[in-house]
Formats: sequence, C-alpha cells, structure tokens
Amino acid sequence: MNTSPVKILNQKQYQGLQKLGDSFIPGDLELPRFSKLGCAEHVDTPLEEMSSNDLKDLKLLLTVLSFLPNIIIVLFLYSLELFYRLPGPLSGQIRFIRMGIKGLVVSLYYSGKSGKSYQGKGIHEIIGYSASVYTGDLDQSNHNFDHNHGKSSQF
Amino acid sequence: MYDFAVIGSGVSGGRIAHELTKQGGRCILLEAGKAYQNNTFPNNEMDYSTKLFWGGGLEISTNGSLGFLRAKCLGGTSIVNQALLDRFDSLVWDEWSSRSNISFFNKKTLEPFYQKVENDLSIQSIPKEHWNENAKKFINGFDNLGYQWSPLKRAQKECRLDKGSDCIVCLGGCPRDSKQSSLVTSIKQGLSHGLNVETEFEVSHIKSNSNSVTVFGNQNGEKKTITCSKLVLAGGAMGNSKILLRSKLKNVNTVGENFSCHPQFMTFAFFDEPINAHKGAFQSVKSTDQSFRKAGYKFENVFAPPIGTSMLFSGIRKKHQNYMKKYKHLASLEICVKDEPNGKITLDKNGNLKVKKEITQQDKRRIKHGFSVIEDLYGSLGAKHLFQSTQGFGLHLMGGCQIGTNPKTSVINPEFKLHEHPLIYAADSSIFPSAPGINPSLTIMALSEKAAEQIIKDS
Repeated sequence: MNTSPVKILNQKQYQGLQKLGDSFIPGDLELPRFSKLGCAEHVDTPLEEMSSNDLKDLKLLLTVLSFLPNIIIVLFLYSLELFYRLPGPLSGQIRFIRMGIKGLVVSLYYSGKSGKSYQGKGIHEIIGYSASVYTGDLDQSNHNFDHNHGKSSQF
Repeated sequence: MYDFAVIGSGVSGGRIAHELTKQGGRCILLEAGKAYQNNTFPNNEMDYSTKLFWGGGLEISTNGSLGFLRAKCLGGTSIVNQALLDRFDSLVWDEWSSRSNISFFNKKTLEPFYQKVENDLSIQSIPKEHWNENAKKFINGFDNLGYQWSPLKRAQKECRLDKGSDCIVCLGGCPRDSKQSSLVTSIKQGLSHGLNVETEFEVSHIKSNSNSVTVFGNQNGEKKTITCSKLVLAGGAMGNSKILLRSKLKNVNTVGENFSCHPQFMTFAFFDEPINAHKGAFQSVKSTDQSFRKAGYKFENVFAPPIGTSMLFSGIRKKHQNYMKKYKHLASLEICVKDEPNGKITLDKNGNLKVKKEITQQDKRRIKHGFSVIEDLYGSLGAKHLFQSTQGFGLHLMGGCQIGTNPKTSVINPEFKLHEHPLIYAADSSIFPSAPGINPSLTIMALSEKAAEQIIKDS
C-alpha cells in the first residue's frame, strides 16, 4: 500500500527525496532541515510539469537514494559540486544532474511553502524575503486573491 | 480557413496578430501555454517557474553550462520579463547589415516603427525617490569608478511604488497589469477587433501548400489541424526552429543555426547592513558607458527571488545555508555578454529540442573583464565578500531563423518570408543575425510592425 503523502511519488521515492533534501539542507539553529519543513509535500507541483522521461529518471534516482545511507548521499552531492565546473562531456552530464537535483530541492525549500505539521517560522521570514504588489485600488471583483483577501498578493 | 494564423503570443506574435485583425483579417493566435490574467497568475516562485516556463522552469544547453528561460503562457516572455525597452544603436545596424545584406537595418528606415511602438506603450523610468538600496549601490559604485549609467526604460504604468509595490513579484506575471505585456496591450486590443485565441495548443509541424499553410498540433490531448492563407511564426528562436526542423520543408536551409542568448552572470556582494534588494523597484538603472558597449558587455542592476538566488550559489549544507541566511544583506548586479552566435538548435531522435551553445574564448574574455569591473565596483563600496556565479542564464534567445538575402545562408528573406515559402513569415528574435548586446523587446516589436505592414501589403 502506498502511504506517500503526495500523488506522483510512492513512499520509497518520497523517502528518497527527504533524504536528498536533508543531505543538501541539514538545517541549523535558524534554518529548519528540509524534511522538518515539510516542503516536500508540495512536490507534485513541479513534477506535474516534468517530461515523462525526466520523471522516470528522477523516480529511479529517488528510489536508489532511499536505500543509501545519508553519508553516501552527502558524498554524492559534494562530488557533483566538485566536478561540475570541469570541462568536457562527462562534466556536462554532471551539470545536468546537479542542476536537476538542486533545482528540485531549492525550489521546494525556498518556495515559502511548508508541511501541514510544521510549526516554526517560514523560510521567507527567516531569510528576510517579503514581497507584495499593491492592488487595493483595483476593481476587487476582478481581483479576488484567495490568500490575502484581494488586498495584495504575497509571494 | 483563416486568413492568418500566428504561432506564439509574445511581443511579436501579439503585435502582428493585432495589426492583421485590425485590418479586417480573420486571424487566429496559437499559444502552447495556458492563459492567465492578473488575478490568476501563480502566486509563488516555485509555482510560476513551473507553470509559466517551458521545461518546468528551465531548459539547459547540451553541455549543461547555460540555462534558458523561455515563457510558455499567453503573452509569452512579455509576461515574465522586466519589460526593458532600448533602441538598437549603429553598432548593431552596421553588424547586421554586413551579416545579412538587409537594406532596412538602419536607424532611418526603422525610426517610424520604433516610434509607433513607443507611442503605443507607456514607457517610464523609475524615479530617483524609488531607487532601492541595491540600485543606489550600483549608482554609487559607478560614480566612484567614473563610469556612465542611466535609468532603465520600462514598459509600465501605475506600478504604485508609493504604496509599497515590489516589482520582483511581477517576474511571475504582474498582478496590477502595470507591466505592458502583450497580454494587456496588443492581444487585448486584438481581441476587441475579433482576434481568435487558442491556448494550450502546441504546434508540432506545418505543411506549406501552394495557396495555404496547414498547421498540425495538439490541444489538451487532441490532435488539431488549422489551415490558413498566411502563417506567422512567432515562437522565438527555439520555438520557430523546432517547428521548422520538424516540418522538413523543401529548400529551407540553416534552420537552428546562429543561435545566441546574451549569457547573463550575476555577482552577489555581501554587506553588513541590510540591502533588501528585492524590495520596491528591484531593477532601475543600467550601464551606459561606451567603453563597456565597445568591449561587448553591459551591466544591469538586478536581483532574484529566493529560489533563483539559491540556484546561483555553489556549495551545499553549511556553505549554502550561510549564503542564503544573508539574503537581505545581498547586493547584486549582472553582466550581460554580447555573445558570438555560435549556438545550434537541433532535434533529438524524439523530436525534442537540443541546444548546443558554448561560451567561446571571446565570450570568456568579456565575462572575465566584466567581473574585474564588478570587483572594483563593490570593492569601492566596502563589500565584505563577493560571490560571482559561474552559472550563466540566457533570457534573450535569438537566431535560428536568420534573416538575409542568400537562401543558402539564411532562413527568412528581406520581406520577412521563408525563402521559397512565401506564405510563411517570421519577424521575432529568431531572425536576428547576431546578438545585439541590447535588450531586444523594443526592436522585436518594431520589426514586427514592419512585417505586419508587409503581410498586409501581400494580402
């Protein structure tokens, strides 16, 4: 039975994503670790737009990661950081993998979204990001922002 | 059968579709992405990156060294760009005339088309009282080093910076319709004249007949076919090249070649005091020093929201976290390189895009020289630390269907028609003979106005 909290990944793949995220962003006194934030609960959004081939590769990678010890995943990430700047076709593949993995992890973590059970401060609040556009002078019937009652859009 | 079909709804497609509809033509505008409007744009950086762009946010060159940002939504890139408008200078016209042998690449001939576009749009600069701390750092640094700068010109109106609007939000679509995207200008006007718009319609290929053009595509999982008397390709460098490569039209050469993208590299400077570079008008000024122009690069005062910023930093774990915890203390600017048009767009065995684009030795020298200017600039301001990102991004995607007089070395002829296929036109950035080193939107619109005039004359 699949008890994954998301639609597109199964439980093992979801576990792999959490381990990958924690290896990249383990957290500290100010920033929560990736899995504690619960941002992976929103992974369906980026995965829905992914091509079927890329999604298949990602699922395979996450399944493999779910079985690996954290230290191996950390070493894997360090090796990507070490080799991606080198010239040549192999480093081209490394850059692809690095950008794909990093893109998924940081998109979730810095999206400002968190999990249902997360109680701490939001990431945007911690790093000091707040941005909005004034819409108070616009026709409110055409401007019904669910998240803040049409006064402004918070990002 | 339609009189006209236009593929792509950015600044070129929207404008041409509007002009053709206004003249009474039965016109359909086809867009692969979805239609959003001011109150339905995705309201989060992750959501808009995945929903408004091809490739779920980013497409990557074959060697992984460059990321390309290409919008996929009604309004195209004009929805997600900063609407910066600049006319091209004599440096561009001289180079383009030489490369293409096109006689109208000169200031005098294009003047009325520039004027028309400028009259159509609200073009403003950010007033001094709304320059944020990041812009002030840029200006002070330039002044310290004796370089010329000037305010950017933006297609915008009533941004309400006085009420605290933060323009960085509008990278995912402007909730006020202040940004003068094609969605709120030409497409809106086109709709009022009877323009037909179909979204989520992805064109797979086209067929050129003697008296018509057939467009084959897919809309929400269903195969669709549209026939028109004349077709306008306005899907940009990558979109137009993909369609033409898939279509395999007779005697069409060099499709996908001469691709350039103005690679942009951001530098972050760490300061003790908060900069809050994301607040207010996050992009207000640019370099205008002719020494940079001649050297082949320019600087812009710019910043990025959290996901974009985190993608640019190297490192993981503590190193990464420490960078991001200083987010509000970061100042930044970008160097944008007038790159050599050495890129090539092809298809893989499944018909998907492959973009080969190397940073050449000349490009590298320009980047290195620009980075040294940035070091001096932030050094003069007392920055604690610099991070120069080696991850380049291409936002101005140009070439692939170069205009020219010679059918063996170009795709589009001087009348904006495909060589030997006179019912198919293009006038967007795909026809550029090389990288101008200047923001291209205004000139794309001016060329599109000229092309619309030609299409109407031909009809």
